[in-house]
Amino acid sequence: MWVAGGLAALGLLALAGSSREPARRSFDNALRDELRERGFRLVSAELGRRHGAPVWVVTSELPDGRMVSVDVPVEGQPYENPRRLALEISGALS
Amino acid sequence: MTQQTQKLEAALGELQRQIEALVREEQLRDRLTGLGNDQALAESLRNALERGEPFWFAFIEVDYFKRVNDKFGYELADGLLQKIGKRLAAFEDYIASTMPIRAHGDEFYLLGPKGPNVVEGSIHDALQRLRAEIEGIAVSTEHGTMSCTVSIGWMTSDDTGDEILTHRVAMRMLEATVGTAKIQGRNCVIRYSPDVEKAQRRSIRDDCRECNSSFTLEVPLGSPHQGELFCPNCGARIERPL
Repeated sequence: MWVAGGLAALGLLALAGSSREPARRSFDNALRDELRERGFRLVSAELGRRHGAPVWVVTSELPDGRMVSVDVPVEGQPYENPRRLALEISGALS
Repeated sequence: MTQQTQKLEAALGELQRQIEALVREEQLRDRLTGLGNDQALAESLRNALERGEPFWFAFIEVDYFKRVNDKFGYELADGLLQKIGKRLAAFEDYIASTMPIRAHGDEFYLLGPKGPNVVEGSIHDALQRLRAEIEGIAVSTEHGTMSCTVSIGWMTSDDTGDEILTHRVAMRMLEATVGTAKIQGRNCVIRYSPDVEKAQRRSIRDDCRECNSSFTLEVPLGSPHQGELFCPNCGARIERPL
């Protein structure tokens, strides 16, 4: 039974109608593939903010099993270029 | 293709879009309270981080909810959660554009944009009013009057200092803040500060078996578990019991 309704429902409706999840999933999959090609396993990729500026926080598993997190400042739109992000990560990890 | 067929296809396409939006809305809704669920929370938080606009974020946990469950049973206790959900849904009366969430069991969240009219003082005051409203809920049952209090921790997107604010970091900060509220006696509202995390952290000193370096890590009390820590020097997983 829904008891809240009202504006909470409107907020959900707005969230449902403007989903960015497909773009995020597609980006995650592409980044996972790009990193795998370079010998790394993607563990997590989180978009964060440092002093207001967007930053990717990417955790990867190295071939020897070590887990390393890399911060990469976002240039342009965050989801537009998984290859460039993978290159920056592999550069930092190599 | 006739004009009629084109109109029909367009209408069908629109219908399909509306059905998809309704299905997705259901995926984001908590069935008990009608508020957003944990998926809605994750998406709203990611949206806020992507937009880069300042926001505030609160975690509301029912005090001793297990006792309520044990005394009154799940069905009646669920009724109490619904009443709390109603109060959260009405929080818009205090601060506009707030997204109310019930993520799990007795864990609720509020997330909203900061702005010229939504400053630290007004957020704290509004949360104090919410806390008092929830304290005032009384449900008469055959087992006696059912009521509860809540502990509330809140933060803003400006609170992280040099640390990168991510979904995970925000959740950690709020959990620490509500943890502090519980230590201070519950039924209160606490704003995040770095001190609340310091009070709930412990130091782990160890040597890395991979690179042989000595390290000290500050970790939250009660976590992480074995295998979730990594050497700050070489990144190797620390496998020994903590």
